[in-house]
Amino acid sequence: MRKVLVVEDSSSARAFVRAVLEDDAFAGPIGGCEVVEASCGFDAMRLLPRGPYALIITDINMADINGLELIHFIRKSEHHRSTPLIIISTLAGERDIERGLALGANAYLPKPFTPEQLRDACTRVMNAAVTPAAAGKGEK
Amino acid sequence: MAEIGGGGGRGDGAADKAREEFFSEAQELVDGLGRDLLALDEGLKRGSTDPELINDVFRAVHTLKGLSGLFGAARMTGLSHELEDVLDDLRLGRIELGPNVLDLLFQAVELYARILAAEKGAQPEPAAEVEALLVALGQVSQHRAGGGAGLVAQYDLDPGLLGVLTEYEEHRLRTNITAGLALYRIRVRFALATIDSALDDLKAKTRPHGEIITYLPTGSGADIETI
Repeated sequence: MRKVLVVEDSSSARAFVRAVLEDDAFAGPIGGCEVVEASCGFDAMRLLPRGPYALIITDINMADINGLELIHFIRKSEHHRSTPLIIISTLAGERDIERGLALGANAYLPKPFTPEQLRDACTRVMNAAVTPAAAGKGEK
Repeated sequence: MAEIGGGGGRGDGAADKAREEFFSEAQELVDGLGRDLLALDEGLKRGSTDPELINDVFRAVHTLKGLSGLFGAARMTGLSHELEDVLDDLRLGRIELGPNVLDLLFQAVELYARILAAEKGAQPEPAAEVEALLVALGQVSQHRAGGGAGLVAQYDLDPGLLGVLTEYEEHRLRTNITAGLALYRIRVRFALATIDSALDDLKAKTRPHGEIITYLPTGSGADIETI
């Protein structure tokens, strides 16, 4: 069972992401997916120590702690600095997305996205995160 | 409406729940928009504009745009897209909030309600009215002015801090610098469990003295107690 932290202040966007990640098309191949929802940056900070997470998905435009501040916090943390992280945000925040990637996000997915696009992005960054370690184990 | 699930498993029920959640959240956002616009209207009559309120309106429309896109409500996405441009110009100080712009925003709230009713199958979509409003909103955005982008760079600010500012926060920083206000960095330690209320207290205490531009949380991320 892989744990995914979804940080998003919109309850229906969280429900959308949960529906996609819990669907067999995504959860099946990775042996099940447990979605942990955070409705704001503070919630995310409270939930981070309850990891480890196989993936973190975060919005940018949130009240109080915005997504950029959260990414900064996550990447400064030794426990979460290499956790795959995807930004989900609308294209209006293009400059904010650039900053998010500079702070250490692995990918961004502009809203609106389709279930397939979300699945593909999640699979891609999770595979990219496990591949070097897996390859490393095979090396003598 | 877009299909979310399809692969089976726990996702099917979750997809239905997500769609129901969309309708109720969109309705809440539209109701909130109406309240915020009334507050802006009252402020305008007194000759003041609360930047935080404009940012709240922007964020609500930004959310509606994202949600309607996810759930395939195309007309709501189109309206939100144009509105977001106007509100972005407003919050970044590129256009001024006046009675004409406010009137267009009130029209948008009414049309949002009608689009939502149409999405639920209760009535036909207000296609012609939305098109007319889109044209009017497009004309507003043509009157935007540029901002003083280089101003923040003249100050010796921590690059780590500037790197986490959203475009809006950077604009607010610039606006405050332009107004000749001093910048302060306050370091506070919060218990994570009560940070929401503690931060509300801090906001209330600092509000008479100035504006909080951003927060920069620090900590190990492994400590369950404090940041």
